[in-house]
Amino acid sequence: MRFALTLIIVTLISMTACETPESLEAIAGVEGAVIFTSWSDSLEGAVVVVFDKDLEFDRIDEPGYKVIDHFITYGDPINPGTSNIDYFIQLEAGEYQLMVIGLLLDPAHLLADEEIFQEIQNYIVVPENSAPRGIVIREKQINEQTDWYVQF
Amino acid sequence: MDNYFCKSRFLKWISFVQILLLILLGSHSYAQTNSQIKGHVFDHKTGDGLPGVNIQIRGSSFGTTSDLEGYFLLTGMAPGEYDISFTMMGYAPYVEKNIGVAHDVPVDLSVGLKANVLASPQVVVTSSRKAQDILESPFSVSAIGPREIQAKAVVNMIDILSYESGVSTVKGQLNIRGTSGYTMGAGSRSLLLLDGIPMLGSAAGNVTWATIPTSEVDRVEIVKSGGSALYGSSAMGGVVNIITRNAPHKPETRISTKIGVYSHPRVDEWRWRDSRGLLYNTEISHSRSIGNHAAWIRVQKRSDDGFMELNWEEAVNISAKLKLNFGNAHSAAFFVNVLDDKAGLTSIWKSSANPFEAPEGSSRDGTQGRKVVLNSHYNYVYSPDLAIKTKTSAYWNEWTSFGVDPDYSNENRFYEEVQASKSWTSSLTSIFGLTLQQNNVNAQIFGDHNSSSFATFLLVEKKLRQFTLSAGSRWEAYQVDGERQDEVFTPQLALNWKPSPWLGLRISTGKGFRVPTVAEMFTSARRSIFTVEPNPDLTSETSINREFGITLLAGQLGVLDLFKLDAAIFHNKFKDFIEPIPNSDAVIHFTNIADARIMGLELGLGLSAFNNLIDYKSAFTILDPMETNSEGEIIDTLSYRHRYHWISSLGMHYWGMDASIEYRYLSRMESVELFQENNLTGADARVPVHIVNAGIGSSYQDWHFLMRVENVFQYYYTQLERNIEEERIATFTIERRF
Repeated sequence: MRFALTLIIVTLISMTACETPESLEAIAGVEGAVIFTSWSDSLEGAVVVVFDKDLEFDRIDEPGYKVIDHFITYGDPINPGTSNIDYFIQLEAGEYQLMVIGLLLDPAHLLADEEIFQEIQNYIVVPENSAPRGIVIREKQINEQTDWYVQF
Repeated sequence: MDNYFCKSRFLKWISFVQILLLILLGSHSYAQTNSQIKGHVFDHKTGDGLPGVNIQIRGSSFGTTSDLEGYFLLTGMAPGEYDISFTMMGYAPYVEKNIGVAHDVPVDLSVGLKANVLASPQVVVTSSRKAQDILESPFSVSAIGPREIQAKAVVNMIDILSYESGVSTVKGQLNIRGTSGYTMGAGSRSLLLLDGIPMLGSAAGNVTWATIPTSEVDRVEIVKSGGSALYGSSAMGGVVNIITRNAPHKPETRISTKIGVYSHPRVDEWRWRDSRGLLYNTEISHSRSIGNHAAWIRVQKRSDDGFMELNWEEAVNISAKLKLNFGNAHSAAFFVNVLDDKAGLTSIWKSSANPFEAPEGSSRDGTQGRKVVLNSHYNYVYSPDLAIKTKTSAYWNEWTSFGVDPDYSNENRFYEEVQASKSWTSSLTSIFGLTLQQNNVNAQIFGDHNSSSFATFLLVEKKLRQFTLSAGSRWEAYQVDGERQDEVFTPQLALNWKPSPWLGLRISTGKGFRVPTVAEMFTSARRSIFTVEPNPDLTSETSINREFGITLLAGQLGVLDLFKLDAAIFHNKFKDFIEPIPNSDAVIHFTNIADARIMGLELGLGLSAFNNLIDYKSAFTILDPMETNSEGEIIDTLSYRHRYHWISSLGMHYWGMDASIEYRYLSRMESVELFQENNLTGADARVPVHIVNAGIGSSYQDWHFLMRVENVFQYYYTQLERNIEEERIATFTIERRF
């Protein structure tokens, strides 16, 4: 009996110990606001997109171009000139390029399938005043200085 | 009338039942003799009389309870030979066998019951709709006794259930062996009963845990196999029956206050409020006997800041129960609960950098509402071998939401059940019943709809020496908005073998089913990023459940005062499984996915040792929850299920102190629906769950003190995406009874 109990307890402890506790911890990332100063009726939404630090700006509308992550600016309707939308994107420490992109299709498509971003790059609009901006993310720190004034 | 239940089929059923009851009632007559069994039940060690002992003639529905001094009287049985069982919480059950009863010759019994540390009752009532030895149950059943409930001083019953084998919760949604997953609160596959009466909401089929008066609960029984054959829709994944206590004969007033303090987040960057959040829960209850009758009333006031921004809640809850005893033959009970509450409401955190805060602009979102539950029971023991029970329930719920998405809902439900239990011989029993349920809902997100169901069920149980064979079936018909939705027949077959007083083996198979709720069919809503659209074409889902299990229950083995081992393997196959599935536009529809199957293994161990000095409980569950095609080929892992589940608790009782520590482990969720993990950024990481709770309590005269800390090590995790779970909270409970 004693052996059986010991065996059960040791087995269970070993099993869970193999999966080291990984409590959610402080994370790093970038946060700010997107301020829409003008808005085109053809747009369905806007996305803050994070690219690799070696972004080739001329190629971002090529299908398959690598995207690290994005934040969809949910919030409808967007009122030109008055809408401010806060955003946050979790990132590992490192260097990145950020920019805001307009979408010609419902941003909910991105929610349904994030992989689809590669396929919809034909449906993006780059605002005139949204040149890519380089940022540095440090370990467990939030970059809070990245607001965007966007004119579509 | 346009209700089709009022048409010919329903009337035929009623006529059939009435005729059947007349035949049954006519075959026996109660109280024809002056035979009587009287006696005294006392504590074997102290000799003190034990009030409230359940005394029952085995194989019949005939019984009584002991009075304040432990005395009892049974009258009216026919001359013959009987076995009488004596059961009471905290005491080992006892059976006095072969008691000969003759006409006009009273039998006098004196029975001493031995205290037993086993917290869970050994007699359960849910798995077969009658009192039954847990070793003879045809299905896996676990039971939680009052001692375990009081030891944790929880406000919400779901906090107890999360620490039972095979039971987990996702955002308040109950999962027994992973059947429910997370369905946005709509369409539970586990049925909640309160004193045997269904308590799921009429619109979403969800559970409002706050309507359960936790401190007045006598015990909880969890049937883990499909129970549709006896309990119908929503029971396909199991049944939780919460049984409220009856008032003791001795008048008693209880005042209890629980104060809790939430910790600030361990991660400094997540700190979101200046002062710590607080929880207050105050309860006053009084119970007393009134002649042969008894009643209790409880008033509860709760104020909870919550562990995150929109987790706050304020509530006033009044509940009462009146038990009427009219001799041996008639008894009735009435239960009422009125809940008035107001709570914050959110569906997502602000961000992973601010997981305890609400999204921008939604910090004032919330709901307020009122719920009223009225339940009544009437039991009529016509003869020692025939009992009739009726259950009636009415439920009203009205709530409104405030903030950015104003909404409202008005729901009501009416439920009626008639059950006849008949013992044909000492080894052959049957239970037959009818249920009728009517739901109405008028809500902004559902629209205006009504639904109703009518069912009849039959369970026959035959004992053959050490074997108990039970066969049951239920026929149920539904309509939604006046149109017939479905008609389902669900049979079940089970065999139990009890080769010795300490060992029981069981094997069972049965069909389960669940009809879609109004919420699943008609919800049209957008909240934050979630959009749900109606799917009125949803059809019922069905299941085939199979289980094999073994229970070993023994006492006094060396230093062990008690040893309990339970093991079960199970295989549940689902057809037309209903799950909330986002389409390519991220719009969620409740959809009949092809098929699914959940199979697994469950092991449970409980022991008490060294003259009740320590007790240990541990249970481990492995699930394999897979979506399949109609050929049974695996397509994907079902979302929102934990593959491994381990709970463990250790208690020590010394010098009048009770100390306990509990551990809950859930493996990382393998699949979710909305936000997948981003390996490049670490966003939406899913981690396993490791939660440790600890408590220490003591009683001094009429006072009881308890200090507990939940989530001692401040372990953070999510189950539903972008929703952080429980923060550490330290609570102190002080209670006085007089």
